[in-house]
Amino acid sequence: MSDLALSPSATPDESSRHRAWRRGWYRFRRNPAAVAGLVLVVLVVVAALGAPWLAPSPESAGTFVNFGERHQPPSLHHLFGTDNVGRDVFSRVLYGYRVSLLLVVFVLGLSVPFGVLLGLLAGYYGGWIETVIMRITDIFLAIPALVMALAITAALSPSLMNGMIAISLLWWNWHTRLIYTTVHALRHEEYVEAAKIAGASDAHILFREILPNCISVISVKVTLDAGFVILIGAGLSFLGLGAQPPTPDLGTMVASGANYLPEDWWESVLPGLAILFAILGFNLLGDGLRDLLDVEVS
Amino acid sequence: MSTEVPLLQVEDLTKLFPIRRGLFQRVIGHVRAIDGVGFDIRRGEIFGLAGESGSGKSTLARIVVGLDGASSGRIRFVGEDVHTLRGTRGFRRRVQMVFQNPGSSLNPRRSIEQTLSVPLRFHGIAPSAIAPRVRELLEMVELPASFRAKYPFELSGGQKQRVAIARALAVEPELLVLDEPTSALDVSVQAKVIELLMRIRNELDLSYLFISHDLSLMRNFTTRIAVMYLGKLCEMGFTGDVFDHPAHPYTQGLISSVPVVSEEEAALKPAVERIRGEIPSPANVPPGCSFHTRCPAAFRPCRIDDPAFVQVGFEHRTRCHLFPRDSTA
Repeated sequence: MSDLALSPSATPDESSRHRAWRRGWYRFRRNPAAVAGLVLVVLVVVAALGAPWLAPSPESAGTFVNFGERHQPPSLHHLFGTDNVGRDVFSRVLYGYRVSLLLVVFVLGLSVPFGVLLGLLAGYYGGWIETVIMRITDIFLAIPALVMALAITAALSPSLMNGMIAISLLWWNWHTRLIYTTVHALRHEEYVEAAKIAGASDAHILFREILPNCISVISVKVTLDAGFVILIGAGLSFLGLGAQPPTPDLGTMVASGANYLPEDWWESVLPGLAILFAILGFNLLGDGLRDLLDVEVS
Repeated sequence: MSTEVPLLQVEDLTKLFPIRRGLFQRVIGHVRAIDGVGFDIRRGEIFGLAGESGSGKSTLARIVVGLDGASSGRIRFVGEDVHTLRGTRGFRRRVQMVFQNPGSSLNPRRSIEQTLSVPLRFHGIAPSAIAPRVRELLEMVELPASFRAKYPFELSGGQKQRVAIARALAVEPELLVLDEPTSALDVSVQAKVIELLMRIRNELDLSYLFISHDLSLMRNFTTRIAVMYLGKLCEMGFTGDVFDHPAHPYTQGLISSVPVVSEEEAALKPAVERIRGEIPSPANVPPGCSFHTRCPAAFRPCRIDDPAFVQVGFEHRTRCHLFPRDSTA
């Protein structure tokens, strides 16, 4: 005890949780791929949040046209060149990240809590509750997400909002499956049974005893998901079923730029690379977190 | 026999687990985890339940605290059927349990204070009274109050088990079920935890159902003892009687396999053969006396008839064909 007090690094009032975080951060730093992922994700988030200040030509995000400067190749003045109506592609990419992150936040914000709740209920109660929830989940899992999203957005009118709703409708089931498996293993843990003997309510056991032990699995899954949601969203708008022009969506930019390939390559390739950048960032970060938190996410 | 109503009465308790096979999970048989077990625990008593792993003692503990239901039979708590009490806060409060493995019985994501406040919160303790009570509980199990803010990973096995004991004591139970409370701990820590349990029992006038595979551990502090084999009790009596005059060959074998340190102790041990082999699967219990496959004294009837649980002394019963009928001393 006395040597602890003498050591300068461990202040006595530093909470144990804080120390655990510091240990985790140290291990995370030693994984170069994870750090690269974190850097990419931070860049994407900063670009999205800071777009109005960082973009050299914020007006390019909208209906602005400048035919005098159309199809300009990348230069110091236009880092990513200009598109077919003379808008600055770099500015549009920054604003495009806003749309991508909006999509991620909306889709995961809606589908993850819903999917996790169903997974908790199915895993904890078992019996007919499990059968009903898990069979519905299986039906949704059997349909490829992109195909279903195409069908839904085509049936409704193509728009960013409908695209987000369609992806949300297809995303919860992965979380249900994952949490169901996790809870199934956790529900016979002795600390759960001890809480039961102590007289705790089901709500307490589900949300205070079991859920906190699912957080690491959920956070890894959500990070990996973010990349896939961006990809599906970009796919939808590439096909014209997601965000509509003039919204600066990365998928839409790739689609309209593709008309001018191969001469004016920057109009499609650079927004495409921007998509790759974001997906790569979230995947590397997710993998790093998975190693760090030592969880299994199928 | 005292006329006082026992604290806990277990009457002819049986627990079957279905064995399912095939596509439609058809029930093709049953595991008899507990088969017609009956005993009483009197107020203030430490009742020891001994047996190898697979004998059904942990299943019995789970049924007593209400984690599982029984297939048939009855459990009474102070004369009242537990089935009607179960789920009521009153019963929950009166019977608590300490698990075998302190590493898994504390939630790794919750601080010690959070863990200890669960039983308090759910038994109607005023929120303002919880923090002082947590401090009191930690003091009772001889842990410093600063442990409130710690998480399980910062505690040693013995410290975790003390926290688990504090949690069980939080709502002032009358009966504590201790399912191998020390077998996951180092020997030196074991003794300290046992010492603590004995002190707490004397201070709070508790009764214990102490479950263990370790007979030598029970010898020193249990009032009465029951030995379980493949779901059945094969011997029950006051601890001194059972150790001095073990009637059942299985009990004799268990006692003789307890390691001893001195020659005097060795001379006291009954001269019997060691028990051969492994405990059979409870899914496939041998016919007749379930112990005959390993019994050094087995003879013809053992393979055919299951012996009765007969009286061989004052409150001393055994289930063995060597004792054909009640021969009460």
